Amino acid sequence: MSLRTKVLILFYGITLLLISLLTIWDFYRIGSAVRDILLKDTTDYVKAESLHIAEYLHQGDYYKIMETLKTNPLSEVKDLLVIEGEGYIIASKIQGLVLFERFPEFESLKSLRDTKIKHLEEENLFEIIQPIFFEEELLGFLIVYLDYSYYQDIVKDKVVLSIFSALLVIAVIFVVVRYADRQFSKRISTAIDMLDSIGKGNFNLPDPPRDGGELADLYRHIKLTSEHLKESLISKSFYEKVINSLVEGLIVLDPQGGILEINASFCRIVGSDCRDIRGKNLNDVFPELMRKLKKATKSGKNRERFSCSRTGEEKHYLLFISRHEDIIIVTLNEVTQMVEYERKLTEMSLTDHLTGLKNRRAVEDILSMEMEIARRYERPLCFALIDVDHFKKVNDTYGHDVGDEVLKKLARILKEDLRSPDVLGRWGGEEFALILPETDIKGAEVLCERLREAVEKTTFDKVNKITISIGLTQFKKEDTMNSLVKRADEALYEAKAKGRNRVEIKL
Amino acid sequence: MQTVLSLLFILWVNLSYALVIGTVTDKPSKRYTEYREFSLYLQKKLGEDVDVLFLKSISQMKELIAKGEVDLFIDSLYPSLKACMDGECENKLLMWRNGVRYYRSVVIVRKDSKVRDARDLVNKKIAFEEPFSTTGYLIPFIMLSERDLKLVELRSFHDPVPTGHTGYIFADEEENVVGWVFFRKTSAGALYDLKFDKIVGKNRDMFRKILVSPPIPQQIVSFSRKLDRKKAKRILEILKDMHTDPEGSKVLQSFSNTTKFEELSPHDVKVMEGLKAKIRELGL
Repeated sequence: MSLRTKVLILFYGITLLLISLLTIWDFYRIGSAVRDILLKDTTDYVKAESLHIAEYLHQGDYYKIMETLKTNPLSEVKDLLVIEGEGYIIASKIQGLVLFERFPEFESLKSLRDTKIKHLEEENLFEIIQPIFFEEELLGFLIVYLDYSYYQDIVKDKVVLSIFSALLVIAVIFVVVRYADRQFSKRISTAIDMLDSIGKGNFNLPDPPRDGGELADLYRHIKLTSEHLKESLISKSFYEKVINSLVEGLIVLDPQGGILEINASFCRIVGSDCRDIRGKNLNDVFPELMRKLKKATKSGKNRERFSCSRTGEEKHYLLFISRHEDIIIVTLNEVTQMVEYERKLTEMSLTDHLTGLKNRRAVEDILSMEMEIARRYERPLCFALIDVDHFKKVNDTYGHDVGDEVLKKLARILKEDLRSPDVLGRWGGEEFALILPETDIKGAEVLCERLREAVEKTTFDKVNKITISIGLTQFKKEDTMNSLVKRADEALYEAKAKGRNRVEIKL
Repeated sequence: MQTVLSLLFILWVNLSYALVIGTVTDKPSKRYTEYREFSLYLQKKLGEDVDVLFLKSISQMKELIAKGEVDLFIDSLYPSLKACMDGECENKLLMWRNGVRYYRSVVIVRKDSKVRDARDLVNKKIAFEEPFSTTGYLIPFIMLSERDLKLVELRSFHDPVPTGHTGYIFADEEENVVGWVFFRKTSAGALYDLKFDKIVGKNRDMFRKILVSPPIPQQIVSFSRKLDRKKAKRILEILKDMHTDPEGSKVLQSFSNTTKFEELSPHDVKVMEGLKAKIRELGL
């Protein structure tokens, strides 16, 4: 049920209630007034008539008594009786000239009353008894029976009239209100149509009516508002276009992390539809970013690196945080490629590009680090230099490409037999370095022997078989890198000298 | 207003030369309507103006009839006899009323009254209706006089009756006549039979009739001697045929419930002549 219907029902209900109350009150008032007037008038009339009737009774002019009774002006009087002495009704209104009607039980006025009107109340009658005196002699009585039903009829007529009037008033009010309501609804409909048109983005509204009034003002306001809205929407559209065209993700937050504005790039970063994000709290949408922002806020930083894997692929961003009085504007510039490039650059500086093994620099760094650990914690550490036997002959015979392939394959074979902490690197040319942390010389010897055997058993394309020589040494506390490497190199020399394809140890 | 209307009517009549119908009444306003309908009918049939004159006394009417200013006189028997007493007019028609040609005068007493006979009314009072009532005065007066009662008029029933006489008082209305008798204001009362029956109704047994008159014509139409014979004859014919004409019958109905007009029979004329003699004899 619409509000308007409720208001109308309430209005009619109250009107009907008020009219009903007024009508009831009116009935009561009219009823009392009619009754009082009726009684007073009748009593006055009876008193006045008793004087004439006294004269007529004295003269014996019963005809005039009858005429008087017949022509009494009180139509509500049911009967007018004139009693001669205490014996006879000599005239009554109803029966005309009765003259001498005597009732069997007639002995006194009381019995007359009992006989003539047995049920005063049942018949709605009032009885008024007026003695008739002529020169102080009681000639008889004038008895009037006032018909209450007449009074009731008057009230009933009034009731009907009042109800009819009330219904008429309600009908008139209904018609007027309906008319006014329709007129108002028509105007309101126009206003609604205008607003609907605005809602659909159509700002070409008709001109407001010129008949004045509050509704005309309303139309003018709507039109004015639509024009402002149009301008705002044009501005907003422009603004949206701009921010959505940004490659950078943009998010505007309130101080509590509520998302005030976002752009399409940000939604792509989050991996959700913008409609699911707008209006929510960043903590619910992108908690890792929220943590990062909190951290940055704490440290007062305005630039921060940020990585995440929202779309399953790790991405790297550079955050620019701009804090204002009541908003925080954050832009996310994706720098994944740059980070990868950096990483590659780093990798390239520590890796041998041919074999993919660590280059000499990396090996030296690791060896330095491992030597430090071994010295500090007195842990065993071995170091070996591996050299391909007669590799020059391979290059000379099969060319450098084949030589490179041999080196690549050799690197793979060696790596296969190494443990995870072990570090294999290309030391230079056809020479490899092997760092064996947490390994004593015996274990290292076993490992090196296994490597040598693995290579020996491997068949290389074109070259067929090659062998390696390994110079092995163990780290000593007093060792420097140079001393350690030197001992390994001396051991390698010794292995070469002793016929190659063997492992030589120098402690 | 009604009095003024009547006077204007009379004045107008005096200034015209139309046929004039007269009647005696002390309530002209009550009779005006019925007489007007009647006169208009007569005017239409006669083809000349017909006017009505109401007067309060018989003597005045008698005088105007003698002068030829009233052409037709319609009234009850007693005024009709009085008006034509000296040959000024001729009683020609009688009127049936309520389908009855005649009525009778009755003298009533209470059933429990000691008055058994008219002669018992010596030293007692009797109620008559009014001074020119046929059945309520003339006829009972004659009947009582014929029974040797000496009648004397009293002003009120409170007045004493002179010894050896019978006091009579006019009650003005038949209802009062009956009431006086019943409430013992007078010992007897006189009125016409039909009215008595109507008034007493179921209480009829409370009364006794001590005298009943012979049948008496109710209303009489008398023609002025000065009225043109031909016109008189024409009027007579119109009135006699009136009840056969639907329009006339309707007018008659409204004219005191008249059934028809009928020419007086020789017997009626004889009775009326006898009554005239009595009126002269008793000085009424």
